[in-house]
Amino acid sequence: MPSADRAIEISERVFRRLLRAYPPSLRAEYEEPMVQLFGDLCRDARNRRGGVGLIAVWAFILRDTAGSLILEYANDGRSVMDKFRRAFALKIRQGTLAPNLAQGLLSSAAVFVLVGSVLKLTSLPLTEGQLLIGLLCACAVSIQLTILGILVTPRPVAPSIRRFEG
Amino acid sequence: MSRSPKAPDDLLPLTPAVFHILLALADRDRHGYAIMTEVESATGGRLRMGPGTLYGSIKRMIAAKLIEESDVRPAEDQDDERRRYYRLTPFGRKVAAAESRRVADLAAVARSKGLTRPAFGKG
Repeated sequence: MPSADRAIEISERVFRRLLRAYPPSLRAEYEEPMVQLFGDLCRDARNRRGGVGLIAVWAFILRDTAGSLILEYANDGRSVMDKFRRAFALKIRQGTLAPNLAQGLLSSAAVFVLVGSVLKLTSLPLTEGQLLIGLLCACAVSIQLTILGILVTPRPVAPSIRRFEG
Repeated sequence: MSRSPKAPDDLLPLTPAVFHILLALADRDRHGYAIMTEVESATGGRLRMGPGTLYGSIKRMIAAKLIEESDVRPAEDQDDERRRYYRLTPFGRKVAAAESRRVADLAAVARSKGLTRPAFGKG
């Protein structure tokens, strides 16, 4: 194998590792096209400028990666916060916020008593029934939070499509 | 499930990367590397997008329904099955047109203030 091809192969392998720094949501969908595009860039640069071209590609890629990583994580963070905001608004519209909050508070109290009892932090004696209820409440809250996170749709327009927010 | 916003103007102003990707796809479907080289050529090398910027933008543009993956493939002898082709959606075309009008209006104002001169007026 010619040394230039070997250099590109190694570069692709290193770039693939570099991609692990991106959020999983981008990697899952676009890892292969990104590696392919990087390989195209490398081959193009090598054909035009040889080894110097390859070094120039890496300098460009590192700059691009640093910039796009910040943007991707900023968008990821915004999308998580947005999910919670939309879930909260939905609960208010449906009138289920108060019962859900009450359920959450009761469950938290149950978990607190349960954990406290196990760690001997509280002196409350717990029967097996109380332990079971506490566990069931904790499970109910966990399942509810998970379903909320999955079902609530993300914001239709990603903020970074627009140059400015607001 | 994502949905399109009501009006193209809701998305303006676009980021340079998003606007240039829309422009690159305005005349034909292209794959990632072809989009990148088209943008570089159209801007005289001033805007160069790497894989992170390009595919990050593509991901968000698909979510916003500005572009979509195209199932039309080039002739078999020119096709690389690993490549994904992208095309404008009708909504994406409207957004590109709205942004073009916005930029043209801005340029007209700048010209009326004597801030720009036509290229042929140089020298």
